[in-house]
Amino acid sequence: MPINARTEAGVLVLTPEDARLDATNAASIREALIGHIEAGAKALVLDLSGVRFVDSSALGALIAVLKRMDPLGKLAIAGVQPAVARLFSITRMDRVFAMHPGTPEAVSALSAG
Amino acid sequence: MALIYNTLRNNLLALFAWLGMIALGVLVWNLGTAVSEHFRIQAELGRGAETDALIQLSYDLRREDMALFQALSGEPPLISPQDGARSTDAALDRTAALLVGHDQGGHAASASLLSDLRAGLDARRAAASAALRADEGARQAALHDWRRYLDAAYPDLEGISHDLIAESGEPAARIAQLTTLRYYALFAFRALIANRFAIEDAVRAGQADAIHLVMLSDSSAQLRGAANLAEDQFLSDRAPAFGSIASATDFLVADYLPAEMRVLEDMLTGTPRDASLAAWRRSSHDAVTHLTNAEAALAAEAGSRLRLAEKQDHAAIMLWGTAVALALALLLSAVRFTLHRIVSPLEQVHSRMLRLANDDLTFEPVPPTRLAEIQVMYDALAVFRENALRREKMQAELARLNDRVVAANHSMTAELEAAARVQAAQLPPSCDLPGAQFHAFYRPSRMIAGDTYDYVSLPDGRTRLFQIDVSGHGAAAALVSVMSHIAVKTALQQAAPSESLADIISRINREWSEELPYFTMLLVEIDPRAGTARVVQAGHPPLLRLPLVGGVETVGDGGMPVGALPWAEYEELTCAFHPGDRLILTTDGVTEAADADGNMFGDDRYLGLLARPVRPDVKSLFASVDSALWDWCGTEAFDDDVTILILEAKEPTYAH
Repeated sequence: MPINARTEAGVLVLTPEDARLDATNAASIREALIGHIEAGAKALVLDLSGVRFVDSSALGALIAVLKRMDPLGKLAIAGVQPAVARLFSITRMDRVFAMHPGTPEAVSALSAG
Repeated sequence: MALIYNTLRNNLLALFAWLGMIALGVLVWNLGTAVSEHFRIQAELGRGAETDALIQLSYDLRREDMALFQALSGEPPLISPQDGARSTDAALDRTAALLVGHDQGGHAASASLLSDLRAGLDARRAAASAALRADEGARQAALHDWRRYLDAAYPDLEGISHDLIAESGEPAARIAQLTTLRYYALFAFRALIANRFAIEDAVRAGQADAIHLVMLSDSSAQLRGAANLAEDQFLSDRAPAFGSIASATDFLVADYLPAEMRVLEDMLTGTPRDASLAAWRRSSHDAVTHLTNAEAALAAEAGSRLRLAEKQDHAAIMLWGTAVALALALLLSAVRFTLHRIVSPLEQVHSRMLRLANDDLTFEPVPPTRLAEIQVMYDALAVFRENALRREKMQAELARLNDRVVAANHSMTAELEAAARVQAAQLPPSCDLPGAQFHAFYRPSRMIAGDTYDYVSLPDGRTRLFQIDVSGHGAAAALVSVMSHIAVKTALQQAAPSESLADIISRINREWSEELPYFTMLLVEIDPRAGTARVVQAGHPPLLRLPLVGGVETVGDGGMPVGALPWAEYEELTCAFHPGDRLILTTDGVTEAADADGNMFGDDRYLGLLARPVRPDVKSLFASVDSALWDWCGTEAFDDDVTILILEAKEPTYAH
């Protein structure tokens, strides 16, 4: 699955093109994100503003990515839609990931910190 | 078959037919020419025989005439009258025979004329023979009768000759000159004999003016011209015939005509001298011999020319006949060779290619050939066939593989069914629990599921119930589901009754391998005697509580899944569980069931089904949720497993 990547203020912003993150593309999301981390990205923002649905497989992939991050690295999630927000809240992952209402807030939070 | 297909075979045969027809046509035309020449020569031979016979008859009759005249006149005769009669009779017989054979009935008048002539001659010969022994007067009378008779017979004979000449048309070209010479010689001979009698009559009568001379000098001049012409024409072959006619002509001009002139000159002045008459008679005698010899030589030459032509023509017939036979044999063997070596191999290739095109590979390979191009075709055909055989083999291999895949699929399905039965055996049926009733609605999206549930009853009347949902579907999720089932159930069985649910889950979470996917869970403990329930929510949709009085409460607002993060902490909540209250555990397969456009069934619809004003019994509740999901999804299989568990608190019963 293609993930668009751009850098804003030293922060790598990743935007998945698919509206659904599920078992079919969870593995490729994980590979893509881990690829960026291994390439040296320390601050990542995953822009989910265009994603309508995330299932437990995709969430598992994000958790796996989180575990792979350097203790100094930061992974923020921005722009989650209601259904996705609900998943994050039910699984308490909203407390594990740094959640931001939008990409600018996430970028400024990461670049400031 | 009436249709002629435009095949190679037909085209080649047509080509051969055209070439063969042209070649054979030329050869047969030549042969035909030679054959028709043969018939022409035969006709010429026939005509030559008639001409010979008639000319011979003219000569013989006049020689007999002269012999008889000489005998009756007391002169030494040219030939004996008997010899002359024999010769004449032989010529008459020959001529009569030819006239009869020439044309049935066409010359009946001529034939009867000849036989009359024969009879007339015989009668006068007998009279002459008798007169020879009688006196001078009788001899003169016999001679007179003879002469008169022959003077009348000569025109008849010439009439027959003219008829035959007119009938046979132009003389044959190859002997035309000879024939002309012969006629001239004959003319000269007639003139010679006629003059002899005319002058003899005049001498006897003593009157010069009674002489009725034929223009012998003219005919001898014509004879000379013709002889010269013939000599010029036939310079290349100076046949003896030309020599004899030339010498006859020379004799007539140099000897006979001067002798005749002297007699005539004598007669103009009076009576001819005896010396002149004797010289003239001797010369006339010799001239007869000369002309007779010349005629014989010319006739022989004409005959030999015709026979030579006949011989040459026979050779030509043989030559062209052989050529036609050879050409025919050559053509047939060329056709046979072409059909055998070219057309037949091509047809073999053709028929095999047709069979190849129809996927018929049973044909035998073609035997080797000596023609390079056809061998190339054979080789190509063999390669095609090889390829087709290989393709057929590959298709068979593919079919075999397909069969194996189908078989594997069958066996996998059977294994999945067995696995599903094993998994289903883990799941407890709806049943009575201490102080509560347990109801389960379970429908995996495939045969084996990521959802599972079970309970452990404690001796003090509490029951601990868990519902698990492993992320993902299929065999891996089902295996993990079974593992998590065992892990959780074992943990529950081994936990001290006093250990909190949160601690139990924390322990399971810590011990869960990081290599395995996480799972979500609701762990519920009911204590019907105390009228309470406790719950830990681990990434799972919240517990729903439906009090007997109505309404729906959600118990809890979240918690981390099990196996996601080892440091996760869990929160344990307490709620009331009075008789008639229902606690409902649901996996996200219900609320996240999606329609064709991806819209989810959602919490609100689900809660609406649960919290109806008149509480349905559990069975119809399950049925209504099931049919609502069916209507929503509209597909045969749900995307996710669906599990709904209901715990309903009973009225307390008291042990006695």
